[in-house]
Amino acid sequence: MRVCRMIAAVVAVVALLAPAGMAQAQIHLQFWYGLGGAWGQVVQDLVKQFNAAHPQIQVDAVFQGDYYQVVQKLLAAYAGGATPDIVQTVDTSVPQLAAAHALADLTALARGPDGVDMKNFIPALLPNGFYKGQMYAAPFNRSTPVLYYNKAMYRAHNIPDPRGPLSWSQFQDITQKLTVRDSGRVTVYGFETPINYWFWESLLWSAGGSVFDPKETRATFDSPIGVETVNWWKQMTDAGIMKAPTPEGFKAWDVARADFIQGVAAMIFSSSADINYLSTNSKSPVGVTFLPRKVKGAAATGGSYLAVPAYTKHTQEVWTFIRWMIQDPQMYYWVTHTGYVPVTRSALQYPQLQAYYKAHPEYYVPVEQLLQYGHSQPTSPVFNGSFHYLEDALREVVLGHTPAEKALQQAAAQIDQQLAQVK
Amino acid sequence: MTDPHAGAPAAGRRPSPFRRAARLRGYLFALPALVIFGVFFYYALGFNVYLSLSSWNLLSPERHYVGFANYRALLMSPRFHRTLWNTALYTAGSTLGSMTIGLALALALRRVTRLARLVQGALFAPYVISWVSVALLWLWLLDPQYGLVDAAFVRLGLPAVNWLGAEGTALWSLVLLTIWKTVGYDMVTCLGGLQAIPAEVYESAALDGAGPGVQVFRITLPLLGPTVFFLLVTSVIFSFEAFDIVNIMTQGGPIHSATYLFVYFIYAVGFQYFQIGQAAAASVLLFLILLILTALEFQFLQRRVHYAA
Repeated sequence: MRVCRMIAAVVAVVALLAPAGMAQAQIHLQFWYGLGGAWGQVVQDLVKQFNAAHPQIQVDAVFQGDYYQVVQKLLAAYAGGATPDIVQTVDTSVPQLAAAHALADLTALARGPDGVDMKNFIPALLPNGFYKGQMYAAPFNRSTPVLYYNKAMYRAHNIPDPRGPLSWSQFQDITQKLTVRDSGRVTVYGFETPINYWFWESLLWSAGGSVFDPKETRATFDSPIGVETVNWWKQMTDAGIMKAPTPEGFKAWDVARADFIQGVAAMIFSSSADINYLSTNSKSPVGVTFLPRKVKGAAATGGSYLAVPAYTKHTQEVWTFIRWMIQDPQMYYWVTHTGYVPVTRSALQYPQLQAYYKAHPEYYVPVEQLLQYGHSQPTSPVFNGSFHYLEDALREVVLGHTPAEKALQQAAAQIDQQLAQVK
Repeated sequence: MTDPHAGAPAAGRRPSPFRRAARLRGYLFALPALVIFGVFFYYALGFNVYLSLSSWNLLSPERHYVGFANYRALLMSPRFHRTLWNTALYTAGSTLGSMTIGLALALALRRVTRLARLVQGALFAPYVISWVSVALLWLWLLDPQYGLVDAAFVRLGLPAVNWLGAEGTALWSLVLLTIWKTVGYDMVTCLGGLQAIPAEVYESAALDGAGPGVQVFRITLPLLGPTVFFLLVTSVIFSFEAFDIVNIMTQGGPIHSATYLFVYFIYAVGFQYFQIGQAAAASVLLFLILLILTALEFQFLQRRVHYAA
């Protein structure tokens, strides 16, 4: 009897609550993003603006760690069947997720009545959002690696501000000049960079090399050009003019940024997304310029896309959000608060953004570099799970004693095995 | 209504409906625990064994049965070999170091004085801090550019050491800070063990002419056996499960997988390389290794342990 009464009570409560839930036609969307600190705050700001402008859709933005932690959590969420509605996911993960049918195909929406003009996107930013000709993600926070330099140190050594990319040898000379030693101990490194595949592939392309063959069936970074590229870092590190921070992953980026801010490193490679952060925190004025070039200018594209996990029930509303995020006013807000590059040509023509670039020319450097030398990342679905082999090899050469040929060949062999499994 | 003998019906008779209900109630009481264990432990364990025999990337709907290929790949992998070796060094170094120093401290601080209590408290403090905080703290202390440790080294005229950034020192740095973190616990546990040794034993030994040294080696250490044995078993298992410090401080680096420990290896293979089958196989191996180690410890050591009342 008591059980019956309990069931009746539960039914009554549910019956009372259900209409209340239905009357509220507002749709709640969960949005996972992967930017911490000041960058994450800007994401939250934009989401707040979106929610204010769209009373019927409420986006709930949830911070999920760095880019790769987002992917890890997303994979776990798929396994558990509890995915969010929108995810900000790193460029190299889009083909991986798309190949596994984990993302919703956005092609029809993008081409539909509420769509976007594909020609409006900056070309180098599109390929990583596509898989087998279909669009699975829209570029949102995109960046390119740039060279940051300490302007005061440049002045002190009478080095002029670079116009366009320096050659490798010019760059090395400057690195040499900027290095300061105090009784044998290096107190200022001319140059510092995380040993990261992203910076390395940019240099590799600038030397005429390639990561994969054009059909992405074979790793080609172990070519003589690849060997030369990693040995260049090795040689500068051994000469004590370049610092290679030893932690792995994004921790190394933190070290490089801290060293630059503290004046321990005169030049660093980092993402253009750091312009605002470094300029705000550095004691000396910060210069921003192109990556050095060997035979041609080249800069990888990086950052993330907005994508939709395959199981969302609200594809239309999600698309509304994505489209809003990449419209010109939002792009203007986003770009000027971070240092990311605008993803569309129309945003570049947006009068307020143009005025901003005129007043802050350093923010335009990555845009110029992107338009001239932008290079999309490999689009193979296995790249996101296998670039660690390449990164381990680079670290073993620069920080250890493994010969470059051997390290790169081993990494290439490992990645080839993965590429062979792609259908 | 309650029948204390429900569940043991007399032979040859069908249980009455009342008895059956009572027995059902017994199962019902056990049900929450059974469900939780079943779902989160036995099912997960079984599923993991199944995954270890498949090729899967966490995402694709199809999982292929590959037999023992994952195990074979692991046994061939230089990184896995290095991981096993690192884990052995880390376990031996941190377990023996922490237990030896903890025991020595317990012997030194066993007298109840105000100073001893203060020192005990100070030594125990790191144990209650979370591993993540400890890892972050030591990451700053050991930083080659801004860290306190190297600053002190340079002041003393010693060369600065890139503790976590050099292949030779990274693992040992982790061992040292693990000892720093756990030594207080080992000390307190040993102090507890020391208190359980009756004072009369020492009195009669002293009467028989045994000096302090003899007392330590003939009385204290043997009678502390159960405590030391307990510490050994739990510390070894714990060392095998270390993850946070690697993930936060070195991510397995700096090079040549120098600080890959077992659980970090599983994580990296599963969630960075997306080879879930191999990660599952490594988990199964970890389970077996711990099972064997614990069995060995019981087999060889328990017999020598005196459980004095």
